[in-house]
Amino acid sequence: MKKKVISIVLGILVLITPIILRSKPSLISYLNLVMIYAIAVEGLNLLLGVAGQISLGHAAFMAIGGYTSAILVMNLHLPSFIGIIAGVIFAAFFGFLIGFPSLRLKGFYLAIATMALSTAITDIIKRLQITGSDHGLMNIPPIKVFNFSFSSEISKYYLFLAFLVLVVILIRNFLRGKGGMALKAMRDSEFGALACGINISYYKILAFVISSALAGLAGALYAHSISYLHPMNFGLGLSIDFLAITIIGGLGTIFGPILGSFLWIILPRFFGTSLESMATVLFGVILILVVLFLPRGLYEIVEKFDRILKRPVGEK
Amino acid sequence: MFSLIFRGLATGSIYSLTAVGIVLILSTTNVMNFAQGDVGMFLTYIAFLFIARNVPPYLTLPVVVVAGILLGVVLDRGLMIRARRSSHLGMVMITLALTMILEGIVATFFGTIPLYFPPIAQGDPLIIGSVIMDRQNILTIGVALLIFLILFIILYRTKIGIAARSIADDEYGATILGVPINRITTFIWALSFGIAGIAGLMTAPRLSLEPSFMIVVQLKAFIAAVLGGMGSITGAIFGGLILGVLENFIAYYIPSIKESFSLILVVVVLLFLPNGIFGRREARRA
Amino acid sequence: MLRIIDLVSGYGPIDVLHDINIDFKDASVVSVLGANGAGKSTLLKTISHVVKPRKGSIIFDGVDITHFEPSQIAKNGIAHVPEGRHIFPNLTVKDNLLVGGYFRSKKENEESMDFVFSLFPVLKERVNQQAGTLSGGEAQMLAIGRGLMAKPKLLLLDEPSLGLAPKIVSEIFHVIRTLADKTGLKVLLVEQNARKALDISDYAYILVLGRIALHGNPEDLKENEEVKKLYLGGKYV
Repeated sequence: MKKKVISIVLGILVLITPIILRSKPSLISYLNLVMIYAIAVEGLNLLLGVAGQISLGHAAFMAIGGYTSAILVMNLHLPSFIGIIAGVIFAAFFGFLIGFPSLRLKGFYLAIATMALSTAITDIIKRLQITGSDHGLMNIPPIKVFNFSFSSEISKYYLFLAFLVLVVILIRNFLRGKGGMALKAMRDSEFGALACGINISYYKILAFVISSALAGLAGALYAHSISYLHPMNFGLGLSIDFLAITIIGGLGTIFGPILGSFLWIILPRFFGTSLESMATVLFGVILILVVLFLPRGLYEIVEKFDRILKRPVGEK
Repeated sequence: MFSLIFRGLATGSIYSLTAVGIVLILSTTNVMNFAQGDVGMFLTYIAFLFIARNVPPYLTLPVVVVAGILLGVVLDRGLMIRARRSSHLGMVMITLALTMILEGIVATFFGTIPLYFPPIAQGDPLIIGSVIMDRQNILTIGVALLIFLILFIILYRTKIGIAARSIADDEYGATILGVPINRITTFIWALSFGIAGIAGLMTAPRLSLEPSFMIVVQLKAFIAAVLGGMGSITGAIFGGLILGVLENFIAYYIPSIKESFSLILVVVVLLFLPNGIFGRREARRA
Repeated sequence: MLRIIDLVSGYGPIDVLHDINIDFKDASVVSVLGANGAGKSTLLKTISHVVKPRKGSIIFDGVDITHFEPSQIAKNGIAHVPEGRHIFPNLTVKDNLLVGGYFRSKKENEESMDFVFSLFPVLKERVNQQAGTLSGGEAQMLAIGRGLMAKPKLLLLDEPSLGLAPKIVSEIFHVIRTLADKTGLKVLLVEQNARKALDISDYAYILVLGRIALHGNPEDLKENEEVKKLYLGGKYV
């Protein structure tokens, strides 16, 4: 009962926040970025937390999604939603390709391979004329549906929220279904999963496809929101950031990515621009503390509150 | 043509140094140190502090080694000892967290604007026949060879070095004999960080000093280590040198694929040549 | 010498050894026998502290070593030659031995190495070879030699006959017995090969499912019906 009330309150809060903040669109834009990151990290969370595959290449998929959508809309004048879908598919395709090395490599070696492949991808992006090579792509138009342009931060907020909710629901259903079970079994014991007749190869590649599709979606939304893409922003640094967010937020949980992204984007705002780099240091320290002492991430703290709430009234 | 080889050897020396540091740690502690490059970066910034106070550049060599050794000891005793109980993923995340911390500290105190770092060896290049040899490159190769020599002496002729190799071979066997694993592990981290510092110091004059300047070098070092079979120091050394030379040739003759070449190469090697080009050691893979 | 009193030990949630009592008294070579999984290796690992004892105590030369670190135990005169040998394949024979003598001085190590070579001449022939190239028997000799480098008073030998041809096993066992007789070295031998072990022992314990089922003189044990039954997989009596 209590939990339901809190969920509803939270839900309402989430819905009216942009209205409360409407005089400060920059704050809303941060929340938008949080949601974009959350979508990408949901993908990485699936790959890392559920399937147990270490990928240092997540940012590259985001880049692929973003650039694909931006180029299709800008150069071929295709409608936004086709751009976004194309971005997702293209990113998923590359995820499919990278899934194959993951069949033969584990742990550290997969990390190195994904690191190399993603650097190669951003490198290629840097070279191609069509992607704006070294200068990046500028003036990417906002998402347009039936003559309505999602150019204001508030409109983007609700659009991204809708996407995020959709993603969360899809992932939750996937995890509850056969796919989720298979991935979890694989993460805990590949041999055991094999013994149960689970097709490991299929699921490993599936995990890569889904996670890169989500990164691609995030990239497309990012492209039409920030309106500017540069290959340097999608390098190893961002991939590492995504990994950090996944772990800090709570590996393997559905809301961990949202929590982690929120912390990641919002916390540095308290530091001011001059000390922004210290925020990175702080996150590094938090990451180490989480790995050593709080393996289920910050979400574990949320879960603790949850348990407190579940106790019958009258008990302490 | 020989100038190309020479320059390639200089670049390769830096790759080899970093790769050796990575392999040292990996074989004795089973940790893949994704912070090896950034440690070198951090130590080079420390050296920069000295340069800014007009200390002669050649003194930065010992500075960087001593600072590296201290950092290695502090980090291992302070953090890695606790971290050893974590999973593979946990160890990777900790080294990645280290990169964030090191880059963040440097960015806070020095900013992200690239800084000029003077080469230790100044002056005109040496010319022998048709071979042009830049002085800093000669120094780089020379220093690297010296380090490798010292490393081999340590690993093959001193008690602690032999014990470190025994841990790499069979940790259980070493434990049973009473070998002080923790102490030797700290020693290896300290050694590896000292080498990282030298690698950073040799790279800074070529690339200019900024928080991310060692990232690409580290990636190439991983590639070199993979080429060399990931478990052997000699492999890492040759892997790095060969990679450096190959890269220089490709940069000269087919400049368009210069960057992507090594990246594709490593994936090919990882997939099809599990023991690297030198085929030593068992495959530690799937 | 060595006294083990009411020892309990195990891994994780499982106790493998229960109420172990062993006393060397005047014996030089003591065997602990038993089938696979009886807990023999666990016993040795507990003595050398790779596995921590949970209850009971271990007294060595009058000193309670129950809570020592593994490196302390090695320094204090107990050497453990593990099951499966665990020699260092990429190190030379010589370097393997040197690691065994890690805590000894250079001079002591030189003497110890000469001594090991006198026991196992084949090691001297292969002194600079990589240990990974040694045959099974040579590797076992190397492992024992490595243990001896620490100049121990007590040698813990874990299944030295594993995977070796009978002739080599006899040779090695003969060396062990001679070693015990001539140098006063005490040996705690854990074995599956009951017959050969009993041949060189002064006393023996039989371990079944983590408990001492029987103990006595080798001659008595060899005749014992229970021993024959237990070794054929009979129940704990």
